[in-house]
Amino acid sequence: MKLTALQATRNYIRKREGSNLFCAVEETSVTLEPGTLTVLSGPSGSGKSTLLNMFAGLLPPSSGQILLDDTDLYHLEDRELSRLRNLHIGIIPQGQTALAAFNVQDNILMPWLLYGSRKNEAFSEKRKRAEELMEAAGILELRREMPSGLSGGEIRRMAVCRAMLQKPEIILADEPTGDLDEENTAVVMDLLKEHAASGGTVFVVTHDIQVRTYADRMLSMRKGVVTEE
Amino acid sequence: MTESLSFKNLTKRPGRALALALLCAFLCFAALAGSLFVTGLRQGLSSLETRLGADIMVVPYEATSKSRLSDMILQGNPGYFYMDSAVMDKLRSMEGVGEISAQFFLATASSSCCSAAVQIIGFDPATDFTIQPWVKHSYQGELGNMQVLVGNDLNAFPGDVLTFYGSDVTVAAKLDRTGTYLDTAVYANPETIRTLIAQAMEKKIYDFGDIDPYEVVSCVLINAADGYVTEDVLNEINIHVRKVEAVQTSALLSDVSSKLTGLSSLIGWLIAAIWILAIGILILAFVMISNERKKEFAVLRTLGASRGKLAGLIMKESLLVSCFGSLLGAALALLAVWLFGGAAENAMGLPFLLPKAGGLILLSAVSIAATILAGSLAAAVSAFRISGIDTAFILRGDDGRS
Repeated sequence: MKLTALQATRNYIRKREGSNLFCAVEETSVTLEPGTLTVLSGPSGSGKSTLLNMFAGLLPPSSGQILLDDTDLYHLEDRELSRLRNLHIGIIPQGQTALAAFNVQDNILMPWLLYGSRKNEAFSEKRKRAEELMEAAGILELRREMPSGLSGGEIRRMAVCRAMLQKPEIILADEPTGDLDEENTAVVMDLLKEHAASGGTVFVVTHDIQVRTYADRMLSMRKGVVTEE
Repeated sequence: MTESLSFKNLTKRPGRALALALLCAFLCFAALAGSLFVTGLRQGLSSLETRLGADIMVVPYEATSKSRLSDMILQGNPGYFYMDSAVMDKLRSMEGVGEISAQFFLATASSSCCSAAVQIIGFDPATDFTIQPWVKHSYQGELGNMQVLVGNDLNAFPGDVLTFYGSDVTVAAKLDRTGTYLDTAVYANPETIRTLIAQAMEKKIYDFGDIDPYEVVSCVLINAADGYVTEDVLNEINIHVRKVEAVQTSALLSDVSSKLTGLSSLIGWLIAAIWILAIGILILAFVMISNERKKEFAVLRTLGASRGKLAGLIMKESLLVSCFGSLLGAALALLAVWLFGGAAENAMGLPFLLPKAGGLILLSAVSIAATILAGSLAAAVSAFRISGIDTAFILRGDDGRS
């Protein structure tokens, strides 16, 4: 699956001197291709996360379209868009996003548990998939732990596993290595790189220079404008 | 799965869940205890009206010091007064008098059944039209000499032998509860009570004066004949029969009735005030909790939860909390009424009769349903707010209201 921003813009209304209109994303046309790990870098406030959220179906563009293959995401009903996100788009949000009431394994299984049942065969397969992911991310022994007992790096690795549980065609990661040491960064990026290598579409927004070494394609963003590097 | 998610969210934060549940319990407790209290009073009054069951009560003139008569009727204070039984013949011959029956009162000094004096009421099975319809629920036989029936609150059971003024009487049956003074009384036929009055006179515990126990009655109950107005019959009696006073039973109960109306209204307003306050607090609590959980909801959105699913999650959590809270509140209300209903009855001096099992179940079900509905309405406000969150903003640490 490919994800395309077609002449997409995003404006905000803010109280600023001179003008109330703030353009976070200038008119942008960019396509995220399958089998490619695309890295978008740029300074804070340049509009990177805004663009990622637009791709994720979480933030409608002020103008233009976000297309998943030929489907305009923002023409779908919320229920359809949510289900599509659940099955086809894995999102690794910025910051700590563990669900405090659930242990590591249930956090990772959450995309399935939102719509599925614990009582059928498909669940066994999902649990197996979760175990494989946890093993690859080096957190299998932590599966019964609650998030409060984990380090920042372990929580981030858990979020990566969670995003990959449903074998989504697309993964969107917002600062997936923020605050991680070199070793944890390598673990996370290897997982994402592997996903792209297996035909997935991976889009990473980052400040981290180390991440650039994993990129198949580099984009940069300044003042809402995306450019190819 | 969202049921499990809701349950886990609640169990993970037991303090918060318990506080919400207690608020719901308080709502349900107020609704059910208040309703039971008002219903108990209404049924008590209704029961008393039924048991009095006559339009007019004729008593000796000296008994009409209102407090004495109403103390006996409403609060069950044991007492006695007598008039010549010849008055029966005079009343029976009067125009407008329909059903007519005499009753006999005697207060005991003490007995094995009871810690305090009890009222013995004698009635004539041949003419009685007030006590027997109720007695028939518990006892279908004919009451023999030196046999008695006992009210529901007395500690005596069929087959027991009680001793009043040195005479043994056998308990033939225990009567259904009425919630009135009749529950602490003992019932006998005229022969038995006359024997007991004679015994009491011999013992000289009370001052009966110069009476012949076999030629007296305590009161005469009368129903106006068809086509006659009660007030007219009452006036005729008061004008033409000496040394007695005819009292309209509805007038006797009017004070109780108006006291009850005032009390019901006060309780109604109190329940309404409690509910408005508690629902306001519930809405505020749910909104505050939802605000605190915005990040969690935003994460669920990124994982594919629709806005409807998030709203459903909040509603299910509120349902679990309000179900638990309302069941707890209902149980506490039933326990409180069961434990303290009698004390309240004594303190107020009003008849009090709790509904039977069916009524209790119905009132409990309505209170529980109303509490769950209130909890759901309160949660609906925050569910509506959460369904409109801006996930992207929240994940970036902004306010998140779209």
